[in-house]
Amino acid sequence: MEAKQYKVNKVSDYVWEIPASEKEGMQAPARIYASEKLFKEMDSGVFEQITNVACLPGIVQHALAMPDAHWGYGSPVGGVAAFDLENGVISPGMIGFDICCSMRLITTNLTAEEVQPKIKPLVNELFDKIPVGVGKKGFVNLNKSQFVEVMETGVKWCIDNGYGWKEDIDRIEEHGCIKGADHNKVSEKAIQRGMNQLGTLGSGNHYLEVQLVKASEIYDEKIAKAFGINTPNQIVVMIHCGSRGFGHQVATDYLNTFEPAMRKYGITVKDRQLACAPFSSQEGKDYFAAMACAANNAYSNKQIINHQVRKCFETIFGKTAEEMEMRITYDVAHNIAKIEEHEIEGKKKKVLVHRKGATRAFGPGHEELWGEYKKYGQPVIVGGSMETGSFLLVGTETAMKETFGSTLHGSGRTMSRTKAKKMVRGDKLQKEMEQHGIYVKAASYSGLAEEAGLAYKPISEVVEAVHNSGISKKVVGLKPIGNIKG
Amino acid sequence: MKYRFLEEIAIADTAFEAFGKNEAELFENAALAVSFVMAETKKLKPKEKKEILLKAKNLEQLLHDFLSEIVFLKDVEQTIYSKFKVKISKEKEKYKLKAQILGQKISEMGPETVKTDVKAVTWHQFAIEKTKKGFVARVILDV
Repeated sequence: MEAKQYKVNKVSDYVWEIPASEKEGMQAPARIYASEKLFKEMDSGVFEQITNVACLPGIVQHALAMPDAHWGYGSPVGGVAAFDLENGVISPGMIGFDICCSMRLITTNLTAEEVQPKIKPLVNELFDKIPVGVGKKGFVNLNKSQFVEVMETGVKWCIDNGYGWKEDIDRIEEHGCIKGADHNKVSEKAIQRGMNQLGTLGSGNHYLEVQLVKASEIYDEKIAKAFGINTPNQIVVMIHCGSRGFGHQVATDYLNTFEPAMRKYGITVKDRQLACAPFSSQEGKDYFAAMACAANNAYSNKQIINHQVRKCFETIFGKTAEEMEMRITYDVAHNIAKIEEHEIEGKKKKVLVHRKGATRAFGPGHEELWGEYKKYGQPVIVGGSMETGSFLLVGTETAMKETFGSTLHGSGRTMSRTKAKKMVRGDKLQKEMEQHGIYVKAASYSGLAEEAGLAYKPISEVVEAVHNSGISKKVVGLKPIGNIKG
Repeated sequence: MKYRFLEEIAIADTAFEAFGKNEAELFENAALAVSFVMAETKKLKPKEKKEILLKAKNLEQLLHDFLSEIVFLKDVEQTIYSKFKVKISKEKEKYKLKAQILGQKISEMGPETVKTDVKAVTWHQFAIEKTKKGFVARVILDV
């Protein structure tokens, strides 16, 4: 088997390896998780970029690409790589500009029968109360010292200020606050850019979706119950967004810092977007502290949106959010670097795991997990295209052994935005989706066209690939009925 | 041609090439391409005015910084700019840029005018080349 210019060894039906001998400078092999069909259809950018990642200093074991992988910048979207804390690097290009872009799932005790007749007023209310689209301001007015608190304490600030329930904090990765955040490592420009955007959704592939649990797709009833899914046709809300302009600016700033740092430390990279610094260097430590600020801002951003979602449901259904049991299932990032302990060559070792368009998928028993999640494994929220549906999966022991506790994050694009816009008209798509039972409100018709289902891989195929490879397991399939997007 | 969007590269993001007979025109057209990703630039009214002053060690860094500034202002001023007048000079090994830019507040735009948010200007395949006709730049935006 060949992957464009590289020779590939088949490790198993769902794992393909490009040996380290295939590109000059590779420090480790690159492994791609995919079915044979998905592997053959992957764009050449994935192979070029994942082998570039494998060239970064201090990479541990192998660079990994998930079944939804596609051509990004620096790393492919769907890339995972772990680095030695002493001899390895940290790279903003292996994280993405949208630091801590994540998926949050909120359950309700409402059913489709109750919500579908009111879907239009509900979606209109959500669109009205949650700022979406390019350059939109949030409604939370913060002064600089409050914004610093958000950066350094994350979701705790939101709960202390009335934007959520106390129990929410346990249902968010890292309890909504990555340790080590230091606002002194963040530029004034980043603060200026982010201060007025708390509680905004953004645009591109970011969305908020009202979904129902597909009766035919409850794959594991026991785990579904533990994750708050009790009945077919139950209504849930999925939120996909990140750290907005604040995180984008942090990454932009540090890419500029890392270029001279690479010269200083004698590091060369195959792609300027993979600019990096030793994790143990001052520059590396500074970026990690700034990245943590952006991550905490991102978790808080979703928490404020979560608060608005509860209020919108209260307005439309005339019950309290508590009565509707609007609990968070989980909030988990797919653009992040984390210090985690993994078993490497039989020994437990702390490494810096980068995930870019890949989701953490901790298996049962992991100490970070709370309550029943510890028993079953971590919820993994996978957002499909707005036309095809999404999935709730669970992390596994296999992921812990093979992929540094990581799995896919979404469908994965197969077509550029420019091409999708040539093929689809946003206003027409909006009408077609309504005919298929999905009511969409968008801030931009052009933005809607870019996100058409035809631009993505089929979600069921990519989910099947991770399920069959064992790096996460299917729990529930979800179908959209309402969507707001930028 | 001022710019053209590329369909087959960087599938997740948006790639374009911008052209100019000189450096200043290249910068103006590249900035217009960035704004065109965010809004129907032909529909924008030049109501908001801004001046940008930048310095960089080389032309590529200067272009990257200039385009990043357009993205930054979109969030800070909530404005998308569509008219650019750029001057570039070189002083003691440093490139200097002075730009007058005009645009419109996003809050005044409807769903037919506003498009997609640009998160950042990436360094992936970022390049400026001198050609027989002038200059061409390749840029990939994170959207």
